[in-house]
Amino acid sequence: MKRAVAAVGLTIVGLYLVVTFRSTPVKSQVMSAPTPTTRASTETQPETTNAPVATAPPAETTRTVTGPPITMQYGTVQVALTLRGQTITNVAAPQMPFDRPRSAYISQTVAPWLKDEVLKAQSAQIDTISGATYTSEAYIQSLQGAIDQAKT
Amino acid sequence: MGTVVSVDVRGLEDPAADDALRSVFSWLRFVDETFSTYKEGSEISRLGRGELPPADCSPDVRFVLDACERLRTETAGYFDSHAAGSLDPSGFVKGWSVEVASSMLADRGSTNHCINAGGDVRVRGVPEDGRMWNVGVVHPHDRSALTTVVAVRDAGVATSGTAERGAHVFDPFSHEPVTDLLSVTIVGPELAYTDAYATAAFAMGHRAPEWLATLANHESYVIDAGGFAWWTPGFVRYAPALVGS
Repeated sequence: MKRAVAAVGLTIVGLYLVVTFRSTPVKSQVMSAPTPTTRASTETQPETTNAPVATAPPAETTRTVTGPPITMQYGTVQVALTLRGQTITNVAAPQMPFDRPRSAYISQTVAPWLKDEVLKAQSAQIDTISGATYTSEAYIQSLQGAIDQAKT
Repeated sequence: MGTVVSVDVRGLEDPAADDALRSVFSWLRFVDETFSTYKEGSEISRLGRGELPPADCSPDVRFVLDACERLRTETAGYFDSHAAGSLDPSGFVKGWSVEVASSMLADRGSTNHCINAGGDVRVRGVPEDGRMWNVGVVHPHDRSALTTVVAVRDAGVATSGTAERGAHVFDPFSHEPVTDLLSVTIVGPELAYTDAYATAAFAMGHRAPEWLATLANHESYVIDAGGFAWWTPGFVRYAPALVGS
């Protein structure tokens, strides 16, 4: 399985970060909707506009930088980058609120007869999420922090 | 366009997977360069400022402008690329660019994949043998929760709602924020249209269910401001757990 994440023009600067990485099926299943982006500037980080994992020079050292933990209503999100030189080779989320048991999926306000449906939904393996989530914004913030750190 | 995109490709080994993903992100970068309303030099920005005559636009831009115009007619004006006052076709471009990306992946041998662009999803094939892609629909009141799950293959799933950043959909006629509905989810064959229809339906407010029921090949799930859910009869095909509710 191969998963890739890209940021498409979040800001006026609009650097595109393309990340390709191997994902482990179980842990990454809820990470499909939250995806990273970057506000790093193209002037200072031209190398990161493409992340050719396979062609990165093998001589460069590999390092990991961790973004700040971003706390929001439902938990804490923290993103870690693995870089080979200035090329991002992996993105991981050591902390994701969705890592909690699936009991986190609780319907509180939709009409009561929907609760059964939601309870049944909990047993399904979720591949991705339609509709924006708080988590994605926190993920972006933490990722941005990690990228800023990687530049220094 | 302020959108983040993730691509999940299954069952394709390197280097084919790398090549396919590179092509897709190269395409998405091109789309952003061309259609971004945040970039002053983009074709769309130049067109919007009147510096570029429509006749001189690239074929992609002309295609998008035509599609937006057709959608405006089809949705009785509720899908409006000028709703914000200036030209902004993002409501079509996002879904369309993902639709094209999915075709590109398929052309490069990736027949099983899932693309998520800011919560709008296009799936092709299956994630693994024996099951379809399970797409959770985020709960409009609790973004850490799901309100339903749809099991789909070869489909687009788009959700329009206020969950993202407070009320952000405006009625193109009254220019007031739409507050009748909390979310509209549409499943259909192409993300370009499911996304645009979801945006239009949300703007229609309480008239949305009636209009959604007229759409062929598209199934919808709507939650209104009272927390009451409504869905088209065919929607249960994707969310069987709804049967008998």
